[in-house]
Amino acid sequence: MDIKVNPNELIKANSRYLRGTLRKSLADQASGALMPDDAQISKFHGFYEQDDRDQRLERQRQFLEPYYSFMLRARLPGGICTPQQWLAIDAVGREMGNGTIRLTTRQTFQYHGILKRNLKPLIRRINQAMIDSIGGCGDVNRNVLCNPNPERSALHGEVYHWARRISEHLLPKTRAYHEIWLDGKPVAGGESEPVYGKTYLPRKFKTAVAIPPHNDVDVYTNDLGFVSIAEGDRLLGFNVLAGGGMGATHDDPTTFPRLADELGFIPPQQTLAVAEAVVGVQRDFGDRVSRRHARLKYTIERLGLAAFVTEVERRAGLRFEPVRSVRFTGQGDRYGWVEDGQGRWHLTLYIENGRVADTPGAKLMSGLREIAGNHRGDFRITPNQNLIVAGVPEDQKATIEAIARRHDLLAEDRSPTRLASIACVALPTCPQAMAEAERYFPEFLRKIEEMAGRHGIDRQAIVMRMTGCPNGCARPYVAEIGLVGKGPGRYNLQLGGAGTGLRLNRLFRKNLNESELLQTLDGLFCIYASDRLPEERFGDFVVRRGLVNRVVNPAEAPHESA
Amino acid sequence: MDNTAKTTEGLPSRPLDGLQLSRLQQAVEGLSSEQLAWASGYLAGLGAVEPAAGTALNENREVTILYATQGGNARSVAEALAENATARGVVSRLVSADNYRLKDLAKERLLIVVISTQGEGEPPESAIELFRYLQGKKAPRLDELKYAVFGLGDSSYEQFCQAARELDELLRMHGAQALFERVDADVDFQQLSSNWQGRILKILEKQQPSDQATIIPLQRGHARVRYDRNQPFQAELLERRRITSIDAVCNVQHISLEIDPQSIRYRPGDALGLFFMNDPAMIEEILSLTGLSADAPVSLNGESLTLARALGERLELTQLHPNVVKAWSALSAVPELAALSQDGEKLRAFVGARQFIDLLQSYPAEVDAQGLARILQAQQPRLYSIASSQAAYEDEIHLTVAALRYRGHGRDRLGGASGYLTQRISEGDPLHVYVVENPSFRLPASADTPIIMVAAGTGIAPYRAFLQEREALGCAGDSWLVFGNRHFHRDFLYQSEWLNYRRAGLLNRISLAFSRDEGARTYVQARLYEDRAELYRWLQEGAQLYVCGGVEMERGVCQSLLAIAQDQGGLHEEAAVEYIESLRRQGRYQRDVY
Ligand code: SRM
Ligand SMILES: Cc1cc2nc3c(=O)[nH]c(=O)nc-3n(C[C@H](O)[C@H](O)[C@H](O)COP(=O)(O)OP(=O)(O)OC[C@H]3O[C@@H](n4cnc5c(N)ncnc54)[C@H](O)[C@@H]3O)c2cc1C
Ligand SMILES: Cc1cc2nc3c(=O)[nH]c(=O)nc-3n(C[C@H](O)[C@H](O)[C@H](O)COP(=O)(O)O)c2cc1C
Ligand code: SF4
Repeated sequence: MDIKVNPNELIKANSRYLRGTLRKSLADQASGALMPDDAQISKFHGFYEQDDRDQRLERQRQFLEPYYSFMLRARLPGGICTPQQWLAIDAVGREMGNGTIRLTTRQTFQYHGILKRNLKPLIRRINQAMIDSIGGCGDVNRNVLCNPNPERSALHGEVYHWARRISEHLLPKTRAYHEIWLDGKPVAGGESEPVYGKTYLPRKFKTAVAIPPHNDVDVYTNDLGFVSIAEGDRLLGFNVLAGGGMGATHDDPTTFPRLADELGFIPPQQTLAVAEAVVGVQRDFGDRVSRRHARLKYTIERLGLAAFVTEVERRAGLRFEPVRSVRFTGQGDRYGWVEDGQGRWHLTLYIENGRVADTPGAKLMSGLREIAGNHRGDFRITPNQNLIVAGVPEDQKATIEAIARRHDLLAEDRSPTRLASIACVALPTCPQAMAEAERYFPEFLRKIEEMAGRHGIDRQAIVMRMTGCPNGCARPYVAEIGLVGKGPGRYNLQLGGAGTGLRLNRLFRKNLNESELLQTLDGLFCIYASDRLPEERFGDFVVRRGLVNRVVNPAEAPHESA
Repeated sequence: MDNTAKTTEGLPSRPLDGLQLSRLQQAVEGLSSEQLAWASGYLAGLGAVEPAAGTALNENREVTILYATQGGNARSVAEALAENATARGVVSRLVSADNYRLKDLAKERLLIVVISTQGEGEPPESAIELFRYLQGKKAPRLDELKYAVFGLGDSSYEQFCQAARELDELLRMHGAQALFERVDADVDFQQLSSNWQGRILKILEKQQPSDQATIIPLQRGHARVRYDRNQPFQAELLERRRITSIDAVCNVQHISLEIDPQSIRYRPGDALGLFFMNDPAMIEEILSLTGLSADAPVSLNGESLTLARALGERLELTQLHPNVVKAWSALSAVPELAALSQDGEKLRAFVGARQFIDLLQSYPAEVDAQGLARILQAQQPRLYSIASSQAAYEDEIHLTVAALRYRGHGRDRLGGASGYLTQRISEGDPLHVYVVENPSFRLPASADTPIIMVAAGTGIAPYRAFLQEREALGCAGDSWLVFGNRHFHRDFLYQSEWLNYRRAGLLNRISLAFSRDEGARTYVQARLYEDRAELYRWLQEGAQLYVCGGVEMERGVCQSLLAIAQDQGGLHEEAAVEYIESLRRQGRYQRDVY
């Protein structure tokens, strides 16, 4: 092997299809952590080693190792689970995690604060509920997003079915997970990874399926995107997109957020072939030296789109038809009740930051448990960290709504901007966090709401997204206002997203603290309030007024403001 | 130190360590040749007082002074006796029980024993062999032997001076005759000890054959520079920090003291004795309850000082001793107390969770400053295992101190010394300390011998010293730590250091038992049994086993060792007991229990 190759590649190669020395690491009582290599392998099994960053320094002085625990991320294609499954998810969260469940921007849930010795019991428990965490993280295809679009159940059903099949098709085939966690018998004979090979992908890989006009999945920010094209409720096929991604590194111009390119249209039955082909090209051409440049978006920039498309077509044994025209209207969730034309109702709840917990303020966790106890349809986690109670018969509406209201799960009485905005997890669990996000965003929003009120623009939703670092877990670079953590209490201010996920925003000011942020935004809100066109969104306004230049080529000067 | 010289058979090439040598050179510096000649005679004379251990006795009527100590008190008494004997020209042989050759016992004519009691009525580690010998079938007849026993103990323990009592009976049982009644001394043993010494010396002088060349009466005292209980060294606090997390039940702190390596030498396994300051708040309360003034003058054995200072640094306030209750009852004339004072059992129960302040409160009485000072006992120094190695920290001593907190009779209590060390002392403050040697808790002689270190709670302290020493000296022997406490995340003491030692290959195995972690609840002794196969293998391969910590833990460990010997060695019960015994005899099973 090339000596220059990234260490992670060797770890994967020597892991015997993701077994590593996990068993040994789990058996060691003296440390709450895994051995370093296993901490990489564990990601493929769906969990990350973390430590409570609030306690780091103190524990160091106490001769105690960091307070290690694990974050486990489930695989839940399209974010759908049954009430029975939810009850299991809830119980496990209370008994084996830190007492909370975290709905994510990729339509699944995470547990935090799992102690090493609880990992195996926990995985067995969720497995009994038919949920696994294979490839929840790691250099493989991640949880497949699918617009939870309730109001067209028939179409949604068919599209969701494809999302599931993509997820299954791109699932690692190794038995490591079953052997280590579920005491499955080792399979006789050699193993293989038909899709991935023994070093898997150079980097994480993300797939989303969108149902226009809704772009709540932010399909353009994924490595691989499928935009469903339908006639009425009949699925005709998909526009295929590739090369999207948010992650960047501060002040490193060779890294940048990027929107996916449109490859062309395909009929449904070619979906898996195309998915496998795109994954294959990334596997063979992706950068295995620098993880920072290993995502598909950089592979495409390097190969050139034309060459990339040809290679995909060759492997999939097809030719793309021209993309069908589609229209996206928004990237947020539509709260409250909707009816699906077949007499079944769907209620979208508001879960701030996706954090399901019982706090003195609100008993969200208990509320959802109670709903699950009464509900006969299903639950759908949205790509905006919210939850939909789907498939409620008329006669159940009142009951469900009453429970939801009692537990403060409804969107009502919240500002449109708050409802359109999200923040990532960040501190204290996220090792990458440079600044607060989830813990701070709600309070920051209060100040924004107050300001918007003063300028009389508080009826207008502004998609605002905050992350604790430039990795972009809340997809801040497609927000109208993006706040990207730079250091404790400091953020880069990004402006000019379209509110539909179709346009990248651009860096406006670097490294601002709260008062600088508020001051800057106050100025902008002031002009916006006076000069906006009717119905004009804030993101469109700042671009039209040239306050920030539209991003044409994402690779060009992504870290220069204005 | 002097007992390294004692333990070696015959004279090694140079019996003195560098420090001793330099002291000796200082001592003889600038002496005239005549003086040197005299001095050499003098030193030879001293030599005769402490012959190397094990050298058989020639048939003379020499007197042997045997001591068995844990904390050094018995030793100090024995040494004083030996000195005074020497001063009177009496040849005596001073030897610690663990260096005493048992078959010499039959040859003894005159044996003086000073022995303390440890554990729950047990003899100190160093005397265990002696006891087994006298209890066993091989015990000799001792009809020729005359003896005297001085026991040290603490009447707040149920079995007061039990070890001394037993030894007394054993000797008598085998035919020896007591010179006079055994003396059982309580915590304030100084007075009793000097009376007793007086009586012994009279008898010795009679015993002394006239032809015996007498040695010029000279005190060895000033020639010897050893800081001890009576002459502590003033160390300085470098740092203290809490090493259990905030949510831990027990507040354990890491204490670093600065010492002068010229004056203080210690070895892994040794403990540190120290004096402490009582809680000012408690002193305030005592003063207000008695209505006495802080600067009322009092005199404590000759020295005059203010009452506040006496209460602060000289007198025992946090351990309530039965004798204090008795004295107080005499003063207060409360019938209830009087009754109590008659009943040892009740009295012990009474003092259990009480402090002097409780007496004052519940049974007020008129007392003047001097009276109060007389009633209270002198502060007992507290002992703490040394958690550092001088090979790694030349001029430091580290301790691992758990704050003793408990609730008793409606008050939150805080231990005197541990309270001072964990709450009140601050950096730069002086602390009066002395090293307490612990020859029965030592790293193996060979650097390659594997060691198994078993501890619960602060019992882990000496093992930190062990590994520091082995690292500094580059020892190759394998090591295995077996540690128990409440919570893995809260009180795995020195966790990051153990993990580093493991990474460095210095610590080969870590077994843990946490008693309050749900899911994983277990205790050290149970953990040992789980690892029995491995443990037995280590022992068979010559490993040396150490146990340090609380009494209960030690008992539990001993039980599972027996079980392991039966399960793994296929031994029946007696054989298992004998197996453990033999380990102990070979010094391969060493305990430091408190
Ligand atoms: C939970 C979640 C944010 C949320 O608030 O919901 C999240 C949380 C983390 N992300 Fe993310 N990412 C989450 C969606 C995203 C998204 C959004 C998306 O996928 O639609 C992105 C941007 C899209 C993309 O991938 O480009 C994203 C880009 C990253 C990156 C940057 C990747 C890159 O190409 O540079 C990292 C760091 C890395 O991979 O090296 C990262 C790494 C992490 C880690 C695991 C930090 C780490 O490396 O140890 C975070 C765990 C924090 C914690 O304590 O929970 N996360 N992460 C989202 C879970 C998604 C899921 O269920 O799978
Ligand atoms: C050889 C040796 C080594 C030692 N090593 C260490 C060490 O490394 N680390 C360490 O922390 N300690 C160690 N100790 C213990 C230490 O010497 C002290 O005994 C301990 O710190 C308590 O002393 P104190 O002055 O704080 O409490 P004191 O003021 O002496 O109070 C103790 C008294 O409080 C009462 N009491 C205690 N607990 C309770 C209870 N639960 N309920 C009711 N009454 C109670 C009892 O009457 C007891 O006599 C060691 C002891 C020995 C003999
Ligand atoms: C852990 C421990 C246990 C003790 N147990 C007893 C006992 O059971 N009976 C008793 O009379 N004294 C007991 N004592 C008190 C000691 O015998 C007393 O402090 C004596 O002065 C110690 O002498 P040394 O320093 O020579 O060991 C105990 C002391 C300690 C530290
Ligand atoms: S964006 Fe950065 S801080 Fe936020 S969760 Fe992702 S990695 Fe952590």
